[in-house]
Amino acid sequence: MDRENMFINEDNITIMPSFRMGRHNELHGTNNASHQMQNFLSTPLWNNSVDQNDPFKSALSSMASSPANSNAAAAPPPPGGCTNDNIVVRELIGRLGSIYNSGEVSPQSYMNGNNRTNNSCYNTPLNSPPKLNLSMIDHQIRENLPNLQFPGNHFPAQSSLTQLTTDPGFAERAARYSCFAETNLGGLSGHQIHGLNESELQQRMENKMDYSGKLSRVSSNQSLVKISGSQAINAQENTDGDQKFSRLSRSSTPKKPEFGDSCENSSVSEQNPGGETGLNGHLNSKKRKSSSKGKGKDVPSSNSTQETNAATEINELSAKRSKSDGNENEKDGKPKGDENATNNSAGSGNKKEGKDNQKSTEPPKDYIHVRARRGQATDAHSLAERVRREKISQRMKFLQDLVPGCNKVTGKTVMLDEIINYVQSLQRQVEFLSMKLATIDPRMDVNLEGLLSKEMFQSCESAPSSTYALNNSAATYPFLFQSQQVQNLSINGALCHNIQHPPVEINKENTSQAATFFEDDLQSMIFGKSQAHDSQGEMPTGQMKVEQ
Amino acid sequence: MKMDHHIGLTSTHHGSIKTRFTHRFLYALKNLNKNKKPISYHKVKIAAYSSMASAVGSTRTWSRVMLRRIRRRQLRRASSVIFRRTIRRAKCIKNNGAKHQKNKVVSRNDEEDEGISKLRELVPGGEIMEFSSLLDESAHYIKCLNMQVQIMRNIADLLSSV
Repeated sequence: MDRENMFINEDNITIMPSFRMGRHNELHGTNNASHQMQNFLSTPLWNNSVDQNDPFKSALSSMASSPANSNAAAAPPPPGGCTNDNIVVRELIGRLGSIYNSGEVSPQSYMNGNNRTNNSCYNTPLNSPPKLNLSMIDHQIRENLPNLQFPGNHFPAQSSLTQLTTDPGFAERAARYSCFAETNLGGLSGHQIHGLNESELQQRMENKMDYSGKLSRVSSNQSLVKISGSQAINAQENTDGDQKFSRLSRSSTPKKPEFGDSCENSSVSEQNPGGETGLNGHLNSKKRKSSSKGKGKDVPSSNSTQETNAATEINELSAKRSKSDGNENEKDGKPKGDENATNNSAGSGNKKEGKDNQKSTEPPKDYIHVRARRGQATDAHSLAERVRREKISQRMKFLQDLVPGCNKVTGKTVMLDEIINYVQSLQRQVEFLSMKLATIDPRMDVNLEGLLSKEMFQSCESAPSSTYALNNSAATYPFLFQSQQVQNLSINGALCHNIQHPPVEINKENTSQAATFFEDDLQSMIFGKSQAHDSQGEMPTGQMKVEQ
Repeated sequence: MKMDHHIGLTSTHHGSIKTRFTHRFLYALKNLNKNKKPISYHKVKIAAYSSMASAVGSTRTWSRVMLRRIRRRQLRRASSVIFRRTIRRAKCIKNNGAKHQKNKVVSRNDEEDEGISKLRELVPGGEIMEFSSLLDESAHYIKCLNMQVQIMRNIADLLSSV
């Protein structure tokens, strides 16, 4: 990281103009409700950012804020790659601008930004405008935000802001690179430019609007951590490669106390998506949940679009992270949320972060949403156990409906006994029936013939060999009774007399007759009698139920 | 209408489990009847079960296990008598050992466990299954048994009524 940043700083300037233009155009093109924001973001801001950047050249490499920087960072070693990157960057910038407008501007985020000025790299150019401007923007944006409907931003302005500002996972998850949220924060506060990796910027840029909501969440985590004990976090970030960043953050720490309240609130609300006690209230939290769920799905899709390998890797990481976060939030955050929300401090945030880091593995896809009630255990084992019990009780109920006389019974053991008895009785019945059939079988031909002859007269269809012709009958099954009835009548008579051993002499007519026989007799047999229990239609549905 | 839909399909592929079972079972009965000897009820029973299992297909554990058992039995029958005896003896020993062990284990809900283990024995393949899937399979198995009994009864009535 450091290397790249340094590298980039030197080369940046040449590329700048093109970036600027692209950014301008795209920003204007975006549908953002706040036009003023765009203006701010446009050139004047840029100038500011540049000025600010000068002191921190290394920081400039940070990414997005200075398009040139991003380009340079992307292609520092290979000089030829700059042009391609530029295009990508432009696109990204345009998206960012839209994202930016949608959710970024919140007082809280603003506040956080001031505290953490270090974080935002790419934002700095955009956000770089002086604080006064930011405040102005914030007000305007607040008004506009509710109206704006970006996929990611379901929450009221405050919640969105808080989310954006607080962003624990971002830097860590992205492994090296800060997410949008950070950038947003930095942009708002934007005095100092942090060099975030270009790849991150690109990824985030590429990530669509939906992503912003997720990112904001992640960002929120970071803010929490910072608020609580910024230095530890800084150390982590430093490991990532941004030493300067850490320094800046440290320097910013003194300001924290001022904004402490807002920061804490935001952090709390973000940390506990389930526990909505924070500023946002229940509605907001619910929305967040939905958004968090959306995260997991959206992230992977965004990955596909990514062009560079590094970017893809980072995204994957972030996606995993976000997934795990979402699940954890759902699992752990909800149950604990009520209790913790009010008391939430940086400490809890840190703990959660640790958890997130540990649980980087992807959650099972067929995750069954289980919500622990108050006082219930929330660890994975007990949750899984609860799911299992639920499944078992469901199936027990199904079995109860299936087994006659089991409805009135209560208690697992009794039910099991009933089920066992029923199965045994059925098996016994099968045995008995097979015995019966065995005794009948020898006379089967005769019986069948007689039966068929009898029924032929009634239904005009009979095949002495019906049972024998079963295989063939399938093909001829479809034949209609009515059309063949007349023919069958004539044929049947002959058959009855002539054919004693049908298996040997099965011809097409027989088969057809057999088929018809099937229809009539078997249907009457099988379905007529059993209709009460299960008709043909019922069986499959029952199966479906069972299979579910 | 339904008939039209089935045109061109073989007997094994059309209709619900019920129709498939009846086709298979009647065909098996016919085959049994070919050699005009008196049929042992055991054979009919096996025919009924195998036709039911094959009608259900391999989507269910119990049907798979049932088919496998039947096939194995046939193989065994085909093999020599001595081999059969040895296997039987080994099986007996095995079962006794297993039962002995089971008795040793003391559980909280003896009755419930007993019921569960019984159910496991009744449902083919249930010995290995997890409890929830055991319930699932047994529900399906019960449904199929129900259907089988009904159809067999109907056939028997039809044949005997003449």
